[in-house]
Amino acid sequence: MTLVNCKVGFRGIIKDILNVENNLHLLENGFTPDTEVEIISKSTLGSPIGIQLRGTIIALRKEEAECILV
Amino acid sequence: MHFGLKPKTIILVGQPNAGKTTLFNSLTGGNFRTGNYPGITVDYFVGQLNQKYGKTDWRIIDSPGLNSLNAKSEDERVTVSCLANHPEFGIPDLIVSVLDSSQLARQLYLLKQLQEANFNIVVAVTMTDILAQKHLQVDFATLSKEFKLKFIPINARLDKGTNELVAAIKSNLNEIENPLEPKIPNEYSKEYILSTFKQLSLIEKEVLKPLSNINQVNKKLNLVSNANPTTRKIDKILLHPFLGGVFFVLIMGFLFTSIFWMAEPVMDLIDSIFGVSANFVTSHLEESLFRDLIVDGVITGIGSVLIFVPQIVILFFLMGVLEDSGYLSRAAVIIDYPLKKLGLSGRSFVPMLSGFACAIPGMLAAKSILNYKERMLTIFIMPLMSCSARLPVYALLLTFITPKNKPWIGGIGLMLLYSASIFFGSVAAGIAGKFIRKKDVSVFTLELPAYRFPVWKLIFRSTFNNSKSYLTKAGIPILIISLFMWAFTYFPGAPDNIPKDAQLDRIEYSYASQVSKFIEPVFHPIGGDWRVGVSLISAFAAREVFVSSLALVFHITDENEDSLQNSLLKSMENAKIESTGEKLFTFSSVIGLMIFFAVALQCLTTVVVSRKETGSWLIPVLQVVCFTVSAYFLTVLAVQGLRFLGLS
Ligand SMILES: Nc1nc2c(ncn2[C@@H]2O[C@H](COP(=O)(O)OP(=O)(O)OP(=O)(O)O)[C@@H](O)[C@H]2O)c(=O)[nH]1
Ligand SMILES: [Mg+2]
Repeated sequence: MTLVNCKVGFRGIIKDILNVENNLHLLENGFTPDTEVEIISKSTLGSPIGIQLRGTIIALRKEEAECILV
Repeated sequence: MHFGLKPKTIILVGQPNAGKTTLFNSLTGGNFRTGNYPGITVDYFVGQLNQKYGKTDWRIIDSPGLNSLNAKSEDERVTVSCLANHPEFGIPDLIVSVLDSSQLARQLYLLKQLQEANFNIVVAVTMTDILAQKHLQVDFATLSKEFKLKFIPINARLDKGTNELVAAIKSNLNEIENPLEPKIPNEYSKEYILSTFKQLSLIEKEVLKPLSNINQVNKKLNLVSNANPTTRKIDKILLHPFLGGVFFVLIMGFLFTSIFWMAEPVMDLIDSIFGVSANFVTSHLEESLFRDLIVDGVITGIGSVLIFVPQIVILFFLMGVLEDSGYLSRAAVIIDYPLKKLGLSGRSFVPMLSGFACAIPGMLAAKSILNYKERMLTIFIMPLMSCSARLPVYALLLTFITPKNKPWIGGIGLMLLYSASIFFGSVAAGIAGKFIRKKDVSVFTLELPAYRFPVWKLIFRSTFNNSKSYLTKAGIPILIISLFMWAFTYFPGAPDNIPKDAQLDRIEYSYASQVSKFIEPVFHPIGGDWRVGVSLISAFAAREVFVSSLALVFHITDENEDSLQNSLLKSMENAKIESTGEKLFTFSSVIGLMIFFAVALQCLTTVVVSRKETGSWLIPVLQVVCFTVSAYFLTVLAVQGLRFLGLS
């Protein structure tokens, strides 16, 4: 399941990042496997998504969140 | 000591929003812009250590925040270029790594990179108060042991810990002789990032300890990864799929309507001060050229614009509160989707909002937008954002069409004008977007920092500084043009052969009236005459000059009113187009003028900055031509359209 399919309030652990070579910026922001994440918000049209991790919240667009497997 | 040698260079480096500029301001006594949004600083600044910390020859540099030494955006590249043997600074002697303790592992990542690149480092740890809200604290002894570096807790907003930091910097510089050549890799591999984060997560777990007065927090792991608890609660509402949008409109609406009604009482006060002083000078000086110059040129010209300073101060104040609160990131999230459809991005929101103060910082702020096309489009539409120089013009015109007993209409009108500027910006972005090539993928990835209660002292200070620089920037053109306009409308005066009682207003014999009759036809379609035309042309020096020019061409002090603004409004009310005898300022012509000001590009500095930020003349030339030409035609359309509908 990717983060896009999850509802607000979902809490889980990152399993993998798809298409890593193009998503190094996600890794550098702390989206690494085994990190605990929680969905804080989804905007009206489903993008961007507010994701809590490592003590802060980071908003990602749908296309970016699609690459995060939980 | 090091006298005669090269001064020591110290660079503040850290992730976006870690508190670098707040620390820089506290160390140097500077007044650079801070804000609770990642990406406020987009260029480096150099400063000297404040005398109160002792005398030094240090050169302290503030830099834009970055997530990784592998820079991706324009502003991140600025920082990396300062670090890697900058032509002016050489190799930095010391890096002060600024670290937000409420998200330790993420922040240590950059520190790790800096350390591996051979830099000499002292660490300043911020946001321990935010961490404490999660009932956690940092075990500094263990952290120091892990990294073999000095970690100093600070809270630069409250000037706490800065003495200790300066002492640590001093002793570090005394120990170290020559800095090593830095080694910054071009890229960090996937394997490197993964293993580094694994290691840092372990360190984080080890050094974050529960606050002593709390009995062993059982769900410690959860707490570490959780964001600030209050922030989570607020975001449930402000980022709610439906309520989020409602609050967005309410907050922005409040921001722009309150400019109008909050300023009212102060404006009246300033207004009567100028009115009274004009009367005072008139009654105490002999009738002379000099008296006319002082009363009509200086007091009227400057006063008519100064009346609107309270509105500008309120704009800066409210924007300061908003910037410090942490809401800007949320607003960027809410507006990302619609902006993306226009070829912009949620990251364009903060530059656009800065554009409501002034287009120049707005264009500079676009440096934090990663994507080339989004950045160019943001710069392109920036002159359409309703900058504070337009505020005096709008305020005067709105007051003119607002019934005296319904002041709230003016506030709504102002909000509509701000919405119109967003609308025009969207249209321009939509059209121009068709012509700009897409060069790279668009990413958003924006941090939503913890909400913060503003520190009033800092807000007042930044409001004061912004207002001061607004006044110095606008004041000089206003004074010069006012004096020029005064002379232009005063000389040469009536011919001697006309008896005094048969003379028309002095202005009718002036150079202004002689020259301007030629340009009058251009202004007929927009419902203006030569006097409006002259004022519009003078507004190309600075938009506010429109107001002072109107005040001068209508010679408002002749009315002997106690207030400048009332007499200006009264003469606008009575003004007639000479050839037809119709009223000059009507509902339609005033709406037309507002549309003209909303769209036209009348600011030379904007053009220059646009050239610099886009790297060619193409965009600035397009901006001048497109915006000014469409301003004229939109105005004609609006005026004639309204008249056709029977709204004269
Ligand atoms: N609670 C708290 N807030 C702080 C502290 N230090 C700074 N701030 C606030 O954090 C926000 C960000 O500070 P800045 O100094 O603008 O951060 P920066 O690192 O320069 O950010 P960029 O220029 O965007 O990279 C501001 O709202 C500051 O008032 C601190 O120790 N505690
Ligand atoms: Mg900064």
